Amino acid sequence: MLKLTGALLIIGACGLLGNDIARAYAQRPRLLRSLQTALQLLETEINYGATPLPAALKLVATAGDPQIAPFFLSVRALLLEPGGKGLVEAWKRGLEELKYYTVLTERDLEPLAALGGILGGSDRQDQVKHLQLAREQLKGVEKGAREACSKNERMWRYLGFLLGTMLVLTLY
Amino acid sequence: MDPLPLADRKTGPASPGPWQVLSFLAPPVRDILARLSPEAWSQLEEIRLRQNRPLMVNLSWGDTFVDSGGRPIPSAAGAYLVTAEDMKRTLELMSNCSIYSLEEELRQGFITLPGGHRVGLAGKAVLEGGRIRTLKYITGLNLRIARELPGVADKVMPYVINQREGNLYHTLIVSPPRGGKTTLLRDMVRQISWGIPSLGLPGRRVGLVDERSEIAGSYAGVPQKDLGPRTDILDGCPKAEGMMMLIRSMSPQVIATDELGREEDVFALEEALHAGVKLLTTVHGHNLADLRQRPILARILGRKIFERIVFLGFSLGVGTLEGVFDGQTYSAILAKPLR
Repeated sequence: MLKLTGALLIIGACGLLGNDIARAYAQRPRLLRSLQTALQLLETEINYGATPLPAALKLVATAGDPQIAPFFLSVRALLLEPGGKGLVEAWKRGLEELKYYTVLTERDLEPLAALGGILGGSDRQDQVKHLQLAREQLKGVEKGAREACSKNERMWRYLGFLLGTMLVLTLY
Repeated sequence: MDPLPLADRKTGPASPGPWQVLSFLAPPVRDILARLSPEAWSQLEEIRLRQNRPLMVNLSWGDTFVDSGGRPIPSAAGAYLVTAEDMKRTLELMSNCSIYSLEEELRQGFITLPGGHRVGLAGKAVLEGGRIRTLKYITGLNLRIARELPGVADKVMPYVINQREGNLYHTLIVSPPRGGKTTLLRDMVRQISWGIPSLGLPGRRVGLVDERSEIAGSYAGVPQKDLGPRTDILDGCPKAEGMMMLIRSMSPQVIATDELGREEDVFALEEALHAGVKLLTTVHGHNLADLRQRPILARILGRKIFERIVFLGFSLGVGTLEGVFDGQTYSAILAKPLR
């Protein structure tokens, strides 16, 4: 009886683990898409509204995907901090948090990283160009993530259970 | 001497003193200038940041370099060198990290900070169709500290008020650059708006066309200076158009503007004259002969629009009242400098 419970627990745990990995594969393209939407929104605010950055960041955070909203909000908070270190630093720290709390990887965020030194620092046309470039790059990353997802998601969903079962069998 | 938190910038505090400007400077420069002596602060007129060049301040007696300990020094040798990073951070702080939202201001070459302090900018102009579209590579900043000097117009008011009619004369203030004409104009507007019972002047509705946001120091449209209870301000509006707009819409009794000098200004002045509005304006210049050599001003003077011409200068220090002339006869009403 004890053995059976143990076996079921092992299979269950491995299955959940596999599921988690599968979910991460599924989430990446979605988040990357949300980031593009957010940048698009930011671009509109900058280009047509000439909205100052703190206000624009807040707007993007409220309108966008709740999973990436904390990124824009924390950049904004760091920006408004008295004696803050400026946008480059705020952006960098925001990205680190984003990487920590979501499934996005360092490489996924590379197109965004470059924006830290550029946002707010030039005229509208220039801002728009850089935001568009970042969006294009994100699109590329998203495509890669989607391919990886279609290849791996389903596999991991089952692989966990299978590995668990295998482990149980070898242990018997 | 704590720099103000950025979050408070929208509303702008009531009267935070000149060190309010510290919060708009890059931290290294801020720390240095915070160490300037209180005496230097009281004389501080301008802070000049030039990339890769020594930090400089203009005090009321002249300019001086500043070393990294916040001490004024006469030679550039030991002075603090302003870095590219300093320039970048300062611009970020001044623009709220949003240079793109200041395009119109960059085109004109200056931005106004909360508190009415003005920042002149120098850099590379980006042209589009022969007109300046914006500035980039901004490598020179000149922060002019705006000071209100309530009462600075006291000595002038008796000469420009027609006590019989209880009204203002059409008045032209003439001053060399940095002679204090904007400060004087601001206080005159304030006093006219409140009214001066001792001179028999009831409060007048004043329309102020503040083309360069310098008189009212408006930030986000809100004047940062006290301009009296009966003053309407058109901020950042071209003078000639602004004067017409005010006449049509706000029925002012007095129209005040800064720095006359363009062709269309003459037309607007005449229009205001026909509308029965009293005029109060300023112009760069030193003396009557100087004014007569400039075509537009010669025309204005030739039409004898102004009833009083007030000259400012430096003979007894900044803001010396050098003389007041009757604009019709050019006879001196006040011939001796007064401070």
